[in-house]
Amino acid sequence: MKHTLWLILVFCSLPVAGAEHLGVYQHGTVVRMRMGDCTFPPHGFMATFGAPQMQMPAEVCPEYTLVSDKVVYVIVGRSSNQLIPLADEIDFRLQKGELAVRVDDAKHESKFSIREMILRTEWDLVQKHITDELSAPPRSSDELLSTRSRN
Amino acid sequence: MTKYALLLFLFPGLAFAGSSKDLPAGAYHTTVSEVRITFFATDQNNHLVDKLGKDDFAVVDHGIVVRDFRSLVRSDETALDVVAMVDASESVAPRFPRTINEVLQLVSQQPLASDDNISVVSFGGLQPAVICSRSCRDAGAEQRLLAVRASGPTPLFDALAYSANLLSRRQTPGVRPVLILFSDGEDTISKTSGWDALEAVIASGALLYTVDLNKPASASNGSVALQQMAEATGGRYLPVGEGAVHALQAALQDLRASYVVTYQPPSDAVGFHSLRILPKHDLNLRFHCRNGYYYQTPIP
Repeated sequence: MKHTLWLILVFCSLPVAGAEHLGVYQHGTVVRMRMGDCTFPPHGFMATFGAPQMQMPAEVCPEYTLVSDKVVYVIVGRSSNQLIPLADEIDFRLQKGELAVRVDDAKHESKFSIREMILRTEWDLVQKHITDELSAPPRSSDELLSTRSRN
Repeated sequence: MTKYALLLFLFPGLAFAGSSKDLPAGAYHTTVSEVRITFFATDQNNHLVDKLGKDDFAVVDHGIVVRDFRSLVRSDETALDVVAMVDASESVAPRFPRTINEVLQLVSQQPLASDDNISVVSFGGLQPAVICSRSCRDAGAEQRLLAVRASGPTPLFDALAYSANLLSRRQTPGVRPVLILFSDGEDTISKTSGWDALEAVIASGALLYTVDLNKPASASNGSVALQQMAEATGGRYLPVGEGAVHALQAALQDLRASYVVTYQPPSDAVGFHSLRILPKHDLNLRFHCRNGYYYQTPIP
C-alpha cells in the first residue's frame, strides 16, 4: 500500500517537473553582443594600459540582445566568460526575474540578468527607423541652409 | 551619386576592393566591401581544432552577430616572418642568460619554409636595438646576441611599436608576420603608450606570441598584460617554461590550422570595428583572431 502511494505521488509529480524544465522554453535569436560594464573594481589590462583620462572598469560582462517573437531582451552575464552559444535559435525561459538560457542540449542552463525589455513591434519600428536614416542620402549643406532660412 | 567604400583591414592577405584611381573615368562604381578574418580554434585542452565548418561559429562584428558567410577556406599563408623581441632590461637580468640561450635555439632552428625569416630586436635602456635582421643564422649575429647585457629600464611599448613597424614595411603576400616577445611585461620608460603599441601591432597584421619571464607562481600585472596583448592580436601567451622553440612551433601549428572567413560588413560605421568569433554550439571551442579592423570610406 505504501509503495503504491509513493508510485502515485511520483507519477503525479513528473508532469509538473517536466513542464518546469521543458515545457516553458521560448525561442529566440541573439542579434547583438557587446562587452559592457560590470560592477567590479578595475584591474588587469585596462588598469595596466589605460591612460589616466581613460579610466574604464576592467571587468566587463557580455551583453546580448535576444530577439523573440513578442519581446526583445537585453541581458547581461555575471562574468566576462559567461557566453551564450550563438546558434541560429536558442531556448530560454524567465525565472525569478532572470533569464535562463539552455546550453548544451538542456543539460545546463546559464542565467542572465535582464537589463532591458521592449516589445518586438516597437523594436522593429526602431530598427526600421535606423535603417531608413542610414540609407537616406546625406543632405547637402545648401539644403540645410535653405531649410533654416525658411524657418 | 555612387559611393565607393574601402575597407582598411589590418590582416595580411586582406583583399582591398581596389582604389578609385585604378578605375577609368566615368566608370560605374559600386560598393564591394568584404571583411576577411584569419583565425584558428582551440578546444578545452588548448589543442588546435583541425576541421571547422560555417555552422561552428558566428562572428561578432561591431556588436552585430554575423552568421551568413560568403566563404570559409584554409589560410593560404605558408611561411613566417618572425621578429624575436628580447627584454634586456635590469628587471629580467637574473634570467637573461637562459633567455639568450632560448633565442639562440630559436634562431638556429632549420627554416620552416624557404620564405621564412627570423630577426632579433633587444630592448633595455632607452630604446630598442636591432641585433640582426633576416640574417640571424650567421656567426656574427650570434656574437652580437651573446654580447647583449641586461641593464637599465624597459622600453617595452616603444620596442613593440618599433618591431611592428619593421614587419609592416616588409609585408609579403603568403607570409605571416609574427612577433615573439620575451619579457616580464612591465614597461618603465616608453614614450609610446600601451594602446598605441598594441594598435601598431594590430596595424602590422602580426600575431603576438608572448613568453612570460615572470615566475609561474606570481600573478603580476605584467603577466596579465602579456596575456591580453597576445589575445588581442590573435596570438598566444606562453609561460616561461615552454620556451622559445615552443613559441615558434605554436606559431607554425597555428599557421597550418588557420582559416579565412569572409562576409559582408554588417555596419557602415566608419572607424574601428571590434571583432570576436564565438561558438554557435560548442562552448568549449575558443577562436583566436585579432580584436578588430578599421573601416573607412574615402572622400569621393
